[in-house]
Amino acid sequence: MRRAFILLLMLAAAQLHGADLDKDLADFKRDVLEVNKRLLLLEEELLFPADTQVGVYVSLDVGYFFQPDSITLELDGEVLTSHLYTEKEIRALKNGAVQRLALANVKNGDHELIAFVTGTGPSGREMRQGVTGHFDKNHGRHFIQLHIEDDPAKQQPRFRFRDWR
Amino acid sequence: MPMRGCLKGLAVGLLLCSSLSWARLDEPHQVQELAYGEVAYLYLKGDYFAALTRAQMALERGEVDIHKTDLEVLLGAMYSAYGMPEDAEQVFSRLLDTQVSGEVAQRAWIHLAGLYYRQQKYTQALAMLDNQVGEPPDTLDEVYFSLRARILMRLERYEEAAELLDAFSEDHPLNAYLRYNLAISWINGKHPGLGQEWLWQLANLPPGDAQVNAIKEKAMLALAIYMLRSDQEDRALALLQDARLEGPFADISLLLYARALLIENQPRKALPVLQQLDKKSIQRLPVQEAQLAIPYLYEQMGDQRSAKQAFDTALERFDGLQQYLLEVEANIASGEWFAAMVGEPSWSTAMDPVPPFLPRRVESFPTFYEWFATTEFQLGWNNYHELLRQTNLLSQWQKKLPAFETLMAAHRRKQDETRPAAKALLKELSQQDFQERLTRLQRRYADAVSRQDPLPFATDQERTLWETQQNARQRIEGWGKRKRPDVAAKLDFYKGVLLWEMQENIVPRQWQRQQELNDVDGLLEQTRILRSRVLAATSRSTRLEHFAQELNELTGELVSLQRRGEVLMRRQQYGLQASAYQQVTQTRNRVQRFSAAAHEGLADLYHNVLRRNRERELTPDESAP
Repeated sequence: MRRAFILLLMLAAAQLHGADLDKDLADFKRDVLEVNKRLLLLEEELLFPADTQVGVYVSLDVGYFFQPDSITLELDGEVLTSHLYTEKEIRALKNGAVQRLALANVKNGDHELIAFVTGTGPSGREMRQGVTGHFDKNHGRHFIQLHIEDDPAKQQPRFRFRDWR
Repeated sequence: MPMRGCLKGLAVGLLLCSSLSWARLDEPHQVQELAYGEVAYLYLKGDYFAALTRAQMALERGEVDIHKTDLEVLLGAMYSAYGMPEDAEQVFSRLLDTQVSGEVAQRAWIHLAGLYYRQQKYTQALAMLDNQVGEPPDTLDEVYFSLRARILMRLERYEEAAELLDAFSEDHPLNAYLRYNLAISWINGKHPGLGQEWLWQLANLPPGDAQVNAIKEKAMLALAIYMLRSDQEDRALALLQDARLEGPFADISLLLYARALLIENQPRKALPVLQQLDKKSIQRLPVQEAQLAIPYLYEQMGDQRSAKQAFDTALERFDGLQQYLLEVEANIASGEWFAAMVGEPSWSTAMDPVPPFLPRRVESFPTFYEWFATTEFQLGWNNYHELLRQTNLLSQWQKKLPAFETLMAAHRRKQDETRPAAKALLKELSQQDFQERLTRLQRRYADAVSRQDPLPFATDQERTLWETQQNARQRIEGWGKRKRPDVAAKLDFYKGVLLWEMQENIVPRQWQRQQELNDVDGLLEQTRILRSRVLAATSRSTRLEHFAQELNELTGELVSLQRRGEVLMRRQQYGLQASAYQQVTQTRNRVQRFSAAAHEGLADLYHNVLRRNRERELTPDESAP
């Protein structure tokens, strides 16, 4: 008897609130997104203040001669991060998207970045490549791009770090 | 069957709409701003929630300029796909009210029409495509035509939808769905022959992925049903013989095959087919039908004993099923059924996309098998898991809050430590009065230049010579008449030479000094900037206070959102449970009907046997003498 009552209650509730549920869900998602955004901004402010923040990004131009498998990034001799690529991520990079590889805090001045990149090179052969770059950290957020591009003349990929202003 | 096809088509359509929601990202393109590239990366790897958040952050922080409109179109499309139609409409309307390029406007209109399609406003969606988009650019034609085809199908304007088929490549997933729906509409309408031909082509597609195979099987079943209805039983039989005995359509294929055999008057062949079905779970509809058909088949074949036994078995199984369904009802009411079906979701991080959850293979799975495939269930199920993810995300943030407090305390401590030193430095700097000293120097320089006085620009050596000469001059003035007359002349000559030398390159000398003064001015400017930064840093307590206040507010909002999420989850759960209860009620009603039919059949069987026995007793024995 009690169960039947609960079921009836459930049916009535579902019918009464079914139409409103979609709207309530949308409102809830909006509020969660807003709170999530504010928390992420606060987290970034606290963990990586603008004065010390440096962001390293990866981009792939064309990608005929190289397809990355993994990247290990070192900043001033310390391993900052490592990343293994999925098929979807590679496709995203090939379509022009940019991956945020790492965020770090550094003091103003000269710093060294080294990336060890593995992947598939021309003719499907395995490739390992070390890339070195220097940057001068100044006031404000600093963005560096590890750019992988095709060199049609040499039929090889080319790797380099560059500032992204 | 056509309805089911449409629903499946719609589901695939929605899927396509989200994956094609921004056509330009499907092809290589130039990204000129980091934030936009990052959003594109998250979007393309399927992390829509993170992409949405990052897009909002980029717009709030003003990180995009060149790609601002692209990002807004993407944001609107993501809102639309994420079940936030009001937000999507707002973004698109705002975008279309501003001066945007023709292609951006067309993209926005297409997405807005897609939004109307999702809201089932098909006429408005089509009018929007016709009036606002017109001829789509090459880059958007696939998105445009797939949307238009889906709208036309929902409006049952199949002929016009068929005209769009050329816009899709042969292997495009929408192509097969479009053809299937068109064929079904034709078979039931004006062009049954053409519909049959198209279904035949679809049924004979080369095997492919799950989607292609499902279309193949559905086309074959639809074709078989049409053949059975249009007196082509022999062809239906030939077709159904090749039906797969596995997969989602195996049961219905077997049942149709048995029906075709019975229509063709081949009961002996139909019996093993039905018996094969009979081995499966009685919760499935085709199995229930087979259970009822078997005793009638035995009776038709004149095997009353087996018929009686089969009726008894059917009644027993139907009773058992009724009992079981009562238990399922009770489990639905208590929430046990839902809890068992949902299982334990797991995420590696809170920002992960919702994993493709499937109902767990609990015991009652076959009862709800067909309902699970409906759009209604899928929407509710996805909403529930999306809510689960959101509440999971909220609780992850709540766990992080103490760390935020610690970070904030560390920032405050660091500031408290460095602030006195910074203040002392600022005080020292203000006492040095560098700017005043520089102004004095600049004044002296300007004065020297206006007087064309070379001395301020003299080198050390020249200055020594000049002073030595001045001393010598004073000394010989003291000699009176004793001095040689040529000495004074010599001194004047040397002075003239020195002045001449200093005047000769006075312009480069003045320029060099000017440069030095400019450099000092530049250095002072840098010092001013550094000073203002240090000054700002020393008074950063307001910034930290703002963070503290923000954190305080966010803590409260997290708690309140968590509660709201839990309430919504419960509401969504109740909605699903209510629908499940309706499914069970329908099944119970059907089983009751089947059970009544079995009782009736058994009674008829007894009656027929008794009548035959009575007739036999009443008929005089012809062999008797």
